[in-house]
Parts: sequence; C-alpha cells; structure tokens
Amino acid sequence: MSLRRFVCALTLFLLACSSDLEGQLASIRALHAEGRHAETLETLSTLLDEYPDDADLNQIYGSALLATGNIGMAVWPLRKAAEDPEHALDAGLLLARALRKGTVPADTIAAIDRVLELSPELIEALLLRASTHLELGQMEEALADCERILALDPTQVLAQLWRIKTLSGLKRYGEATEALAESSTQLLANSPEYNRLAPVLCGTGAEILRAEGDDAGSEQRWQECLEEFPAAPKLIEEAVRFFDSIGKPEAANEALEVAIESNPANLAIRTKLAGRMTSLGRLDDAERILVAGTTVETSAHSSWLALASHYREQGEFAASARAVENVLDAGATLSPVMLAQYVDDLVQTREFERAEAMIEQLDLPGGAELLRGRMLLLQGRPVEAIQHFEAGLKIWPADPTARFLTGQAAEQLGDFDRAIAEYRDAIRNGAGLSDAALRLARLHMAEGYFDEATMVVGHRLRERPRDPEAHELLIQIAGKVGDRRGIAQAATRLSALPGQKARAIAAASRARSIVDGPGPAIKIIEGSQLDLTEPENKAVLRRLVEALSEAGRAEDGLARTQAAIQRDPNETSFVESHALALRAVGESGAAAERLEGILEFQPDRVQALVDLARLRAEQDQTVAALGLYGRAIEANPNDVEAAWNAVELRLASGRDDQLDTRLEALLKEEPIHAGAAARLALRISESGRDLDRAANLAARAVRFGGGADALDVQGRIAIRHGDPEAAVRVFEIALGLRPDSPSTRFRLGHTLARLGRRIEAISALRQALESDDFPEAESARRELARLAELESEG
Amino acid sequence: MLALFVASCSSKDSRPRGSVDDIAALAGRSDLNVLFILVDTLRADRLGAYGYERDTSPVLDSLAASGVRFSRHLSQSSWTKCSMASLWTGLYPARTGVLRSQHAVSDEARLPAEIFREAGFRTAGIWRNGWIAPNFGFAQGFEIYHSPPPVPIPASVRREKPQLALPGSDADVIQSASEFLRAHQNERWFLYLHLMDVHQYAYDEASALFGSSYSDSYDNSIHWVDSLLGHLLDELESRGLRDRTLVVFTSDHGEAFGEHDGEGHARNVYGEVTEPPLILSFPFRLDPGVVVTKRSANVDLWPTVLSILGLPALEDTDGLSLASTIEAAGHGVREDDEVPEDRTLFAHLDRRWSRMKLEPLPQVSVIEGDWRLIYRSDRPDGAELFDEAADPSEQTDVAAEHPEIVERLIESAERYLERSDSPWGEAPTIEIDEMQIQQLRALGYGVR
Repeated sequence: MSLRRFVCALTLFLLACSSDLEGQLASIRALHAEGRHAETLETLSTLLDEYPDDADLNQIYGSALLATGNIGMAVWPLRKAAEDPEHALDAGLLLARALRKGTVPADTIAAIDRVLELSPELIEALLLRASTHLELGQMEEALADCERILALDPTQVLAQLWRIKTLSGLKRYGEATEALAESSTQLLANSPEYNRLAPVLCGTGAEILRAEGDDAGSEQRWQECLEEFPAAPKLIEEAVRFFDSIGKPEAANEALEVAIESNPANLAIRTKLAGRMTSLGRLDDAERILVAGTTVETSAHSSWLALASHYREQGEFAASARAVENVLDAGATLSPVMLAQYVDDLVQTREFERAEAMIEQLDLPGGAELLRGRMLLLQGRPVEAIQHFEAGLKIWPADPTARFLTGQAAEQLGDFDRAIAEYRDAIRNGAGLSDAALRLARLHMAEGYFDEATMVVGHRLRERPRDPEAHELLIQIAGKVGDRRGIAQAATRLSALPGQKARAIAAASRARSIVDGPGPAIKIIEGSQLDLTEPENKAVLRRLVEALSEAGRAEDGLARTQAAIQRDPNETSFVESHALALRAVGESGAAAERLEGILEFQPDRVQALVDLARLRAEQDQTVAALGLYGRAIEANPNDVEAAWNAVELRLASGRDDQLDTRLEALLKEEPIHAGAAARLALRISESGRDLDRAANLAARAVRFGGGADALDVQGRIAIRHGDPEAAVRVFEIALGLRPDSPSTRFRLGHTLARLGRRIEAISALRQALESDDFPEAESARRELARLAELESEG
Repeated sequence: MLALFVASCSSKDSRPRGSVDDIAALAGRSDLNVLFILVDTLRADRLGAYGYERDTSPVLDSLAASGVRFSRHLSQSSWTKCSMASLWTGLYPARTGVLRSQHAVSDEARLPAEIFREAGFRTAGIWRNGWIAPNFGFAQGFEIYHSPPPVPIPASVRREKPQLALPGSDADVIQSASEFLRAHQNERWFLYLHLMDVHQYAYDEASALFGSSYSDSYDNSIHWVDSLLGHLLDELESRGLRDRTLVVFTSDHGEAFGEHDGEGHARNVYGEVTEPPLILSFPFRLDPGVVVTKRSANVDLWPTVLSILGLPALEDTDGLSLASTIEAAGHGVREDDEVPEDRTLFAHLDRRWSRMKLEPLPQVSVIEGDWRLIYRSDRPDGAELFDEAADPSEQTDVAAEHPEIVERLIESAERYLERSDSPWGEAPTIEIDEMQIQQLRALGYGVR
C-alpha cells in the first residue's frame, strides 16, 4: 500500500471513529482542500442523517456533491444551508452554481438574485448571472451585469468579451467594435491571456461584421484570423460554420486542412474533415486524411479507430478489422463497444473462428448474442439466429442493425409479417442506421403498396438525405405508379448528389420506359447532356442501348457504343454494351466474340458472363449457357437475376436436376422472388412432399407480385389440398388478372366439374378451347366431351 | 449508486395497520407529508395491480394492495401539458385553455403547491419533461422546481428510443429526491416527482425481462421505474417517514400500441392513452386494500387529496373529492352521496396542439357509465361509441346500434367544447425558445 493510500485510509478511519462533529468536519475540509470530495460523501451523508438541520454540514455536503458532479443531488443541501443567515452567501452562491448547470436557467437567476441582495458587488455572482442572461438571450440584462462587473474590475476578461457580444447582439455595432479594439489592446499588453483569448476576440470581430451584414468583410476577417491562429479549435469551428453558411464549403475544407497541418495530432479536426470528404463522395480523400493521422504518434490509436469506422461505414469490413488490429497489436485495450464492433467486422468478413474466440472475451451483456445471431444468419441458420437476436434484443431493444438482421432471418423463414415488424422497429430507432428502410420499401413495392414504400423511403431520406439508393428507389416507385413528375423530381434530387448523375439518368430512363415505352426513355438520356463516351457514364450508355433496341433503333445503339470504345477501348463496360448492341442488330457471333474476349482476361466478370449466357441460350447452347450462369452466380452469389435465368433455362430445357436446391438457394438470397416461390411451390406440391409448405410458398408468390401465374399455382395446390372451392376462387381471381390464359381456364373448368357445377364447367372449358394451343388442350376436349355427354343424359 | 437501486426492494413496511375510517382523521394531523409520484406515459392495464399478467410492477402492486386503487381512472388528455394543466387545476382542458404547444397555465390559477406552501409545507418539484417547465406555469407554489442535470446514463441502462435525446434517466430524479428527503426529513413537505423513463422506454439489464418487441420494452421500462420507486419507498422507510407520508401515484396519459390509429400518444383520446392508474397509499396499511370501481378522473385527484388532508380546496373545479367514495368502497358500498354514479367525464385533445397557426381540431372522449364516445369536431357524424363493459379495449364501434346514446353524448361533447367559463379567461401564450424546442423534440414531439 502506498503512503498516500495509507494516509487516506487512516483519515477515513479516523473520520468514522470521531464523535466530535466539528472535528470530523475539519478532517473532511482537509480532504476537500486536496480535491478528494468523493471520499467524503458517505461520511457526510451519514452525518447528515444524524444532523439534518446543520447548515454547515449541509453546505459542505452540497459542495462535495457539486464537486463530484452530482448536481441534481447538491441543490437540496445547498438550498437548506442557504436558508441559514450565516451560510446564505456562500451556500447561495454554490446553489446558484449548481442550478446554472441545470436545464432551467431562470432558476439560476432567482438564486443569484438572492445572493446579490446580500452582496451586490460579488463579481462571481455577477458573472454567473451575466452568462445566464446571455444564454437566455436577455442581452440588455447581460450587458448591465457586464458593465457592472467592469466598473468594479475593468480587467475581467470574460465580462469584456460578453459585453462585446451583447453590444453586437443589441445591434450596437460601433460600440462593440470599439470595445473589441480596447480589449485587444489590453490583451496584447497582458501576454498570458493572449494565447487563450486572442483567437476568440479575432473571431468576434468577424462575427460583428457578419451581424452588420458585411459578409465580404467578415470573410476577409475570418481568413485573417485563420492565418494568425491556424490551429485554434474554437476559431476554426466558427470559421467553418461561417464558410458553410455563405456557401463556400471549399474554404471551410481548406481551413480544416491547414488546421491539421498546423496540429497533426488534432483528431477532432481530422475526423471532421474526413467526414466532410465522405459526404462529398470523396472517399479517397477521406481515407488519405485518416491514414495520415495514423502516422502521428500521439494520436495513432485513435486515428486507426477513426479509419476503421470510416471503412465500416463504407462496408469495407476487412479493412476495418485490419485497422483495428493495428491498435490491438500495439497492446492497447478497446472499450467493450469498440471490441464488439471489431468482432462484427470479423463476422461480416466471415472470419468466424476468430470472431467466436473474441466473443468469449467480450464484456458486453447482450452483445455476444447479437454477434452470434449475425454469425448464424451468415451461416444460413436463421432459426438459431433469431433465437440469439431475441436474447440480445432484450438487452439492446433499440439496436437497428439487430432489428434489421432479425427481419432478414424472419424473411428467410418466410415470416414476412415478423420481418416487416422488425424492419419497422429498426426504422423507428433510426432509419439511417441500418438498411431496414430500403428493404422494407422493397417489400412494400413487391406487395404493390407504393404509398407505404414511398413513406418508408421518406423516413430514410430524412435521416440520410444523400443516400443515392433511397433516391433511386423513389424513381423506381414513381415508375411503378406511372408518376412521370415523381420520376423527374426524384431523378433531379439524385442528380444533384456528387457523382450520381449517371445513376439518376439511367434509373429515370428505365422508369419512364415502364410508363411510356422507349421513346421518352431515350429522350431523358439524350436531354441529359451526359458524355456517354466517359466511363463514369457507362450505365447510361448501356441503358441507351437497351432503349434504342426496344425502339427498333439498334443501329443507333451500335454507333454510340463504337464511339465510346473509340474514346476508351480499355473500358470493359463499353465493350459489354457494344456486345449488347451487336446482339440487338443480329450479329450474335460478333457479340459473343467480344464477350469471350472480355472473359479471357476477366473470367469472373459477371455482366459479361450473364450477357454471354443469354446469347448461348438463344443459340440453343444450353449446356454452355448454364455453365456461364453458374460462373456468374459463383462470382456474385447475390445475383438473383442470373440465378433465376438459369432456373428458367433448366426448366425450358428439361434439365431439372437439383432444381429444388437451386430454387431454395435463390429464395434464401431473395425471399420475395415470386417466380422462384411459385415454381418451388408447384414442384413441392406435385411431388406430394409437404403441401403446407407448398401452400405457404404459393401465398408468398401471390403476396409479392407473382400475379396470375402465382395464383394459378395457388389454385393447383388448393386442389391437391382437397379444397376445390378455394381453388375455384383463386382461379377466378387469376383469370380476372389474365383472362386469356387457357390453362388456368381449363383448370377452373375441371375443378368446377369436380364440384358438380357442370354448366359453368362446360362454359369455362369451351372458353379455354377457343385457343387450342395450350398443353392441356387435349385434356380439356376430353373433359368437355364427357361433361356434354352427361349433360345430354340429363 | 445505481447498483444500489437495482438491489433494492421495497420489502419493509413499518406502517401501522389502519382502516378507511382512519382516513378522516388524517385531516387533523400536522405531521403529514405528501409524496406525489407521476410516471409519464403509464397506462394502467400494464400494472399487475390492474390485472396485467406480467410482473411489471411489484412495488406499485404492493402499494395498491395496502392502499386505495381507482380501477377506472381517466386522464384529461393524452398529451402531457394539456393533461397536467387539468390535473393540477381540477378543471377540464376546455376550461384551463391549455390546449396548444404555446399555451401556459395562467398565473391567476391557484395550484395545489401554493395551497401546500401556504399551509407550511416545504414544496419541491423534480421533473424531466419539458412540457411542464416553469415557463408553462407549472412551477407555481414550488419553492424549488428542479430539473436535475442529467448524469450520464449508466451503461446498464438501455433506451428503446435512442434517437430521442432526452438525457439522463429517472435515477437522477430519485437520487435528487433522496437528498431532498435527507435535507427536509424533519420538516413537513410536499414533493412532486415527474418520471420519464417509461415515456422513453428506458430500463436496465435487470429489468429486461419481457421480450424484445416495442411493447415488451415498454413493460421493461415499467419494471425499471417500479424498482426505482422501491428504492424511494425504502428511503422513506429508513428515515421513519413512511407512517408520516401520503403517497399519491398516477400518470398523465397512457400509450398506444396500434389498438386504434397508431402508436405513442398525443394523437387521440381512446382508452389506451387516457386510462392511467391512480393509487393512494396512506401512512397506514389498509388490509385488504380498497378498490374504487366508480369512475374517477385526474381532475378529482387534488380535490380528493386536499379534502383528505383538511386543506383549503381548489375553487370551482370540475373534479370532485372522492373521499366519500373511498369510504363507501372501503365498506363495500358502491353508492355514495357526494359523487353521482352516472356523472359524465371528459378527455380532450386538440389534434393540432403543435401547430398554433392552424384552427383547433378537438377530439373529445365522453365517458358516461360504461359508454365512451369518441367525438371529432371535424366530423361529428363519425363519432364512435364503445361499450366498455362488453368491449374494454374499444374495438367494436356500436354507434349505429345506439343512436339515442350517441346523440346525447355528442350533445355533451359539443356543450363541453362550448364552455367558456375559464376562471382566468384565455390561457396565456408564451414564446418557446430554441433551447426549449430542442428539449421538447428530444422527447419525440414534432413542435412547429
């Protein structure tokens, strides 16, 4: 035990043993004189229980509570002490200080007034009241207090500063400027104060000019201040706010750059600048700024963590984990939350074994459950994942990411109501903190609830107004509901974001194409003035080729892609668009040649693989096409479209080996894929394996936009379920959506016949046979004949 | 210190046993304190004492089991400021005039704290909800009306609504209250505590008992606040104040979980947002506790308590003293002479309370016996009627089956809204400064 600790223990022991109140208070005061207030709280409270009305004791206890930050507790003993005439002044001032830290400034004024009644010239009280008036915007009262203070002691620097601010606030700019000059002169003569307050005074001068409406003068003054005090944090903060407010963010960024150069260890400014770069889409600059911080010895650890956070925000979890490991390798300890974030990085990069080992070290109740939940979800075990998420969410109910992931697990299990509830809770706790809003919007879109989808995207944009994906979703929704103005408005907003114009134009063109066909879609691109030979506009070029093909102008598309390749022959996407255009003009061989050329050097290039697969399928080279789709899916397991194309090709070509497994995998990736759900439902039902699951899948397909096809499947499953009445209802709805489906009409007729509704059945079968080219035509004829015979027999 | 709260359990109760007949004698006592606890956003049916199947509220249940519980209690609004103005004045919202975000309780109003102060009580209020800030007129009569500066929330405390930035937790209020008790234990006092963690769905790990949904989190927060109150009651006990203190417990409004048109509160006046608990716990134990089944309301609260204490009454109130009702209930009798069985009660919300520039859009609940009519001023013909005896959760609108009742209750609602007999004329309006707007937004209110 150190000597200091021994003395401390001895003092506390003596305190506890002493029966003389005065003696105990003297010991306590001695500890307070050393700043050791916390050690005395227990003794003081025990003494107060015995002597609750002792003013001295109340004051000492109150001051100890105040010194230890227990403001809400301090007010009562201080108030009690202040009621005693002998303690009214000192305890009253302490009470005012306590109240000043509270949330109701008016209380402070009343307490200070009581003190000033006793001692009208107490500068500390006057300063406290002046600052309170300033906070309340009571400029006249603040000014009066400042002037009273300065009359008593002209060297009070804070009073000088506040006087300048209040004069400016009262629009008495001449006096404010004069006072500023006086204060500056005094400060120059008083060097110890200069470093601390000179930047503040300089900035105050700039603020006065702004208040006078002289923005140019203010700007010049801010620049001068920054030159003189390039590393003064408060000044920089104010200057940045000013430059942003006059629409000159670059000047603000420059000020921050200079500040970092002047003081490389200032992490707050470094992360602020990096954050600004990120929001401008300048991710490389943001990374550069943060990486530079890791070379500064005094702030290296914090900089690595800031860099990790930056990577994490960009979804670069491996990079984030490696950044954190620089800190761990140096032997530093992370807080439980930071450690959990690191483990999450490991989970997301599928380093499960390391993650599991780290989870064991995690001292964060509930955190381990959430991390295990995510791990299990990524391992394809949604049932167990949900159990862990539920346990974690009990402790962390507001974790939007955990809610989002629980929703994802619920989707994988086909429990979409639960998923929607979880997404809603995630959004409630921060629509910008997870992708729940985007996912929920997509679910609602698939359900055909476009108003709900729009509302959800609105929540997202309120919190992340620069989220390009959300803006693009709005374009898509507008396209779905035929809202041309909505498409244009959303596209304009997306275009205004840095680097997003091409995305906006491509999305708007696609949406207009749905509403009005290719003509207006082409016009949008042509009216955008985008240079389609620039690689950054590659998505628009591809979109243009598609639209021109739809419009029967494939040759124009070919010319545009040739121009782009001429400008940049190494841009792969240009070659892909060119191949697309070649295919559209009927030069499939040349198209395939181009795509194979790409794949020779980039064998995992998904777009080229998918485009070539389509070509091969068109050329009846099914095996080759399936191989290419397989490679595309392997390269990007999230590519649902490629997976679905492959499934359709297998079905069309009668190659249904492992088709159920493939459909299951597709639905795991995209649980609301109506086509896959309907197809799997039908296969399960036809195999007679699990009719309930088949019915659930069919219902899912119907819910998420499967239309007449999904309803047809649902009707067929209802028949297998032994519920022909339900089947009839479903077939009728399907025919309402798609009256020209002879197959569905045949099934309706056949089911009606089973129900003994012979006349309706005959009518349905006759209607079906108006088209004789459908797979069940022969069966329909036989059934019709049978029914006609029965009918004639009466 | 928080750990102390968690470990605490209100296990001791040294109060002597008493009976409802002893209540009348309280008016003669000069040593009696009043502890008024209001848990913001607490609906009665989530407490065990009110029949909830989950063990959310052991402390409050025990308070109710040894005191008086009002089983059919009504708040006068689903929005704090409007509701609290009625609670303190005993007047319906139409008469307080405190209906919009910038309205304040008039300085001319005489509030219970003023009566307590004049009677020699030390008066203190400790609060965290910006809608009852001093500039809205709620500090009248309090020597100190204190909003404790927030202590950083302990890592063990979770909040379902982290985006709502109300700092601190109710532990701050309870700690501050404990110090008040220490300082003033030898004096006579009236202490008002307004707790907010249920509003914020905040709770600690030990209270994370009831699942992970939004509604579960609400229950968790009730358990957490209940445990804090257990600590406070222990504090009273340890200071020998329990048998010198009348504890009054209620809420300003409830909380919706999608029963009708949405979640939260301050949007309508259905039962889930206007039926808080009311419990009185006397300086003696009632065994068994008394349950008042006759309808009661927050406007009755202070008329009742002041009359029990023998203090001057609030003047011209809409609320009534329920002292005789308590006595009757204690003797197993439903009827009493003072409070008619079929009196009409009201809850009221101006649905445009946050938008001063727009015309008012009042919604009124009219309660008469088992009937609750929901009246909307913009479409009186669309009034809904619920039979709360048969349909306590108000799911089946029976307006079409009872046109004569609907007509009568609509007339009541319209007469109620036409009342212009406020004791102090129009409610004063105040400017809400930016800081206060931010504080209110931190509670999740879209103040414009």
